[in-house]
Amino acid sequence: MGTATSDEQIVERALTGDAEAFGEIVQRWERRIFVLSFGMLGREEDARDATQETFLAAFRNLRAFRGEAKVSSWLHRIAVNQCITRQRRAKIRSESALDTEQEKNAASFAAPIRHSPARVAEGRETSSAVRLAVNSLPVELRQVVVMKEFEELTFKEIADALDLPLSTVKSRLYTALKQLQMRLAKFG
Amino acid sequence: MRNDDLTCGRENDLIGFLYGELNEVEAIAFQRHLNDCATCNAELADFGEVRDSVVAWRNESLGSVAFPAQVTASSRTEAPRATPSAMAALREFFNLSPLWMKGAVAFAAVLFCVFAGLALARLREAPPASVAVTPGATMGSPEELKALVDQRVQEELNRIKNSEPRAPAPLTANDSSQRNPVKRIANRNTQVALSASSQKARRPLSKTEREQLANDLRLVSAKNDSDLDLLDDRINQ
Repeated sequence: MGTATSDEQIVERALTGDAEAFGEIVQRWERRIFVLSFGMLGREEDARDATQETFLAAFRNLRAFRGEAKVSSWLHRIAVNQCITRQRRAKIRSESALDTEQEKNAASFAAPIRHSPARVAEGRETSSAVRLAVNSLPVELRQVVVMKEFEELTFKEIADALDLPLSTVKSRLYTALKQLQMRLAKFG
Repeated sequence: MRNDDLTCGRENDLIGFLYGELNEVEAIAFQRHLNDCATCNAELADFGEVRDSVVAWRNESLGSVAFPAQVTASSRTEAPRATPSAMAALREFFNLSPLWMKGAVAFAAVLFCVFAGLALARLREAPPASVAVTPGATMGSPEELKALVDQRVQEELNRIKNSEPRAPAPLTANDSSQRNPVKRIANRNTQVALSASSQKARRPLSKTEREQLANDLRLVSAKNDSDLDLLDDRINQ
């Protein structure tokens, strides 16, 4: 990030006992981590919880951060792991009931008020189909799609965040779009 | 649906072109490839639709979500709002008010103006009677004031005379009847007779009053006798 103080410098300050330093990290990355969590989980409440847990985990493991990777990559990895953990727990609780509940909740807050009832219903169906299609992708494909479409990161940023080669990011995105296309074709 | 096996091996360029992340040379080269490759053309169209669907879902979902960072950042960077003036607050209130409330306020304002105008007009046309209660305000000169006082005094005297015609005139030190013993006795007798007659009309005299009356008569007769003696002597002389 083209800021005067880099994330790594702020983390160093936090490690030396600056109480407000970690707050700056949270302020910088909270929105992007939330968007990533939302794309991964599909529900606002889950995304908020995952965002909080991500920063809590980062704060607890601050001393383990060696500066070998970027802070952004480090936070993304923690967030993705938090989302995977939450989804596993949710699947264990109730696999079938979860989808129905999520679909209902997602559709309720996703519906724009200005649209006509027919358009709203159509939009709900489409949104639900896309959400289900994205959620059904394997995690390594899903996180790339979410980082590209939700966070609007460049291939380079995604590669840095996930510590992957640039070509791997592109090929994963290609595969993800191909699978989404096939899954959405079933709804069309 | 198209056959997945039909690929030309330029998937990464296709993705780069789709997201606009090819440099200018790469983009021109892939554009030329698209003119010849139906598979890449079809995939590009299909992926475009998938992207549109995902972006629509993202916009619909995140459009109603308030991001914590946005809230905190805006609250930190936002300059403290100046307290609006009373007029500004009133204007804002009227802007937000419904039409019926605006009409009611306008009607009340017109009514207030009408009543205020009427009150002012009445004050300007104030009746002189209320001011005439204070004599000095209507009397232009001391002569007029004196004349008015004399007139009032005369009226008051007439009123007293008319209301109590039989009442005895108050005695004064200069009264000539006081110096004349005959007149004084006559007056006293008249007063006693009047008081007696008035008391008689009301109630009988008590014992004390009768004794007092007897003393008075005795006193008067003694004085009267001496006066008569002196008069007798003068005549004889």
